[in-house]
Amino acid sequence: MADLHRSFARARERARYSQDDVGAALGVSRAMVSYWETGSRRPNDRQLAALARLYGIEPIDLLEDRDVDPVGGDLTGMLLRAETGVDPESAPGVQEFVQFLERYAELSQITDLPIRGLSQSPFVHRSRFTHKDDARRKAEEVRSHLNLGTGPIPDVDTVCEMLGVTVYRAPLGDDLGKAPSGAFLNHPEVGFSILVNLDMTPGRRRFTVAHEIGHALFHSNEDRWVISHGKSPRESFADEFAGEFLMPSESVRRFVEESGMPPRIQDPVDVIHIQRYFRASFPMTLVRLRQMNTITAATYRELRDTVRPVALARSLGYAIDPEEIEQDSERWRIHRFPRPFLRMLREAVVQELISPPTAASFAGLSVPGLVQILGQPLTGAEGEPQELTTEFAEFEETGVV
Amino acid sequence: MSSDRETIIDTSVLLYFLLVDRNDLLRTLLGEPLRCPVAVYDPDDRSLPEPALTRSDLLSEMRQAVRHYEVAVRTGDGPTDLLDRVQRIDEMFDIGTVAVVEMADNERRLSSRLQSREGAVQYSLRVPLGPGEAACVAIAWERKWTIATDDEDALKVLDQLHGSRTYPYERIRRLLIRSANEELITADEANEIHAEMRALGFWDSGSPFP
Repeated sequence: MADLHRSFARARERARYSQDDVGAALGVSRAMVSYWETGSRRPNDRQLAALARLYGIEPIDLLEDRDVDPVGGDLTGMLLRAETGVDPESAPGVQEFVQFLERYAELSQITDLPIRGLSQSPFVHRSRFTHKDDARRKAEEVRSHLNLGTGPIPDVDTVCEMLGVTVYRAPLGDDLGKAPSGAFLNHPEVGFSILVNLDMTPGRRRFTVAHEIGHALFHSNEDRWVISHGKSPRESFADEFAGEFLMPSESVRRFVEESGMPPRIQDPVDVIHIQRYFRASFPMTLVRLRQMNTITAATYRELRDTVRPVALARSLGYAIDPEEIEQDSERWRIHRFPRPFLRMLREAVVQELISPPTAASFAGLSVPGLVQILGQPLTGAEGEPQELTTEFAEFEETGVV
Repeated sequence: MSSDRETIIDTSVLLYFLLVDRNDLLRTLLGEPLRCPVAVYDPDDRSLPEPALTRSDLLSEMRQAVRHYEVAVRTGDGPTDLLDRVQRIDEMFDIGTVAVVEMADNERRLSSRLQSREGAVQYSLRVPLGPGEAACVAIAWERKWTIATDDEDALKVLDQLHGSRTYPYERIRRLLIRSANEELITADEANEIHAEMRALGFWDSGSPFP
């Protein structure tokens, strides 16, 4: 292994990472990466495994300087090159997403259990859905298709399971000026797949799931992937879709009326009640109310600039998710995975197709994390009550709606 | 009483003896220091910057376990005593009761092969071994050390390397039986420790003294 250092440099170049990128991803200095590549120092075995994972190859490929395609056929590079201006710090999260999808497909083969992924939208695709009215109509159509009625959606992950859309969560950065809120990819084996940035508030994550559903169902005939970042007609469509999907205008109006709120809302307390009822973020709620002309432009600005929504919600007796105050991506070690994947992983261990420690490594989990999956019922990713899961238990039997 | 042959210890064995606060049994049976590969425990990964510490794929397997219990405590989902116990791994390293084994080139090569898809096919595994298991197998095989693991996939590979004969190994159940036989604990205590491990998610349902 005398020339191992040359292999490191070549593998990095093939994966199109800079030494800075590698250092940031592995938690070492750029200088250390340079030492590895010049042979003055050697990465230890843990670092070697992490390097290989970052480059999307196996450790043996690094040791033997093999010129192999990264796992996922360079999907990560494709995703990141698709959009300019995306924060390079998002790259490990995007890579994690693609590698997860490859493993999901592999696990499906091992267990002989189908993924039931949607790969073609059941909804009418017209070229470039971009108009706001289109988005609102399409949101109603999807709700109707799924028999969701017009009420709040307790658990967006269950909606994705019903549609056959895979959701994965990874930290992509908390500066949404640079970091994407999420991404959509039509994976060749898994089908429609959504990545959600964990470095956002819970309400914003729900919005992102709905936003990416919009891309999946109405842009996938033209775009195999979408990185949700920046402004474009396509992004505006997905925003509008997500707003109407999570907070249907009709449902908001009815709630306002039934709660005895005035037709023109001014009181921030009313906004908080609406926000909590629909499990939305405060900014999204304000935007929706403004779009519906339920608050004036002046009230919108005033509430946006003066209200401390978490403190106000707490004073009104609402339970506060700690992640509304500070995001904690580590809490999501297990729940970053979609439930069907966890069920499949558990099945593989129960059937003794994979040993528990191997299953933990395969999924990128700690041994206690894997044990938690084996021993506990798979609750909702957002931690919501499971009424919807129960209501749609039939889905478990029949698969995609 | 420790055996003459060196033993390389995998995450599962180290973790569960720590979780039930009986690493004294391991030390007595296997001798000090307890030896494990870097992929199982790396003292350097405790000083990684915070963003890297949150990424499990950058951590040794024991550090992943420590972080798991840290999160459990932080979110109110787990008791602090389990975290305290698993965190003792750092203290054990600092005082020399745990030592880290760096792999030689031939061991690295075998370990990497076992983490590859072609290695999995060669040894009839459904998926490749993880870094910790692969390193333990490589070190055990190349140095003719005993392996202490409860990973059936790792044992399966070693047996094949050994020409379809059972390679010398230790596992939790066997270590508890030895502990009772060497009168470090009673048979009832061995069963109780095993039951405690089971309550913490240990997957081997066979108790030491049924």
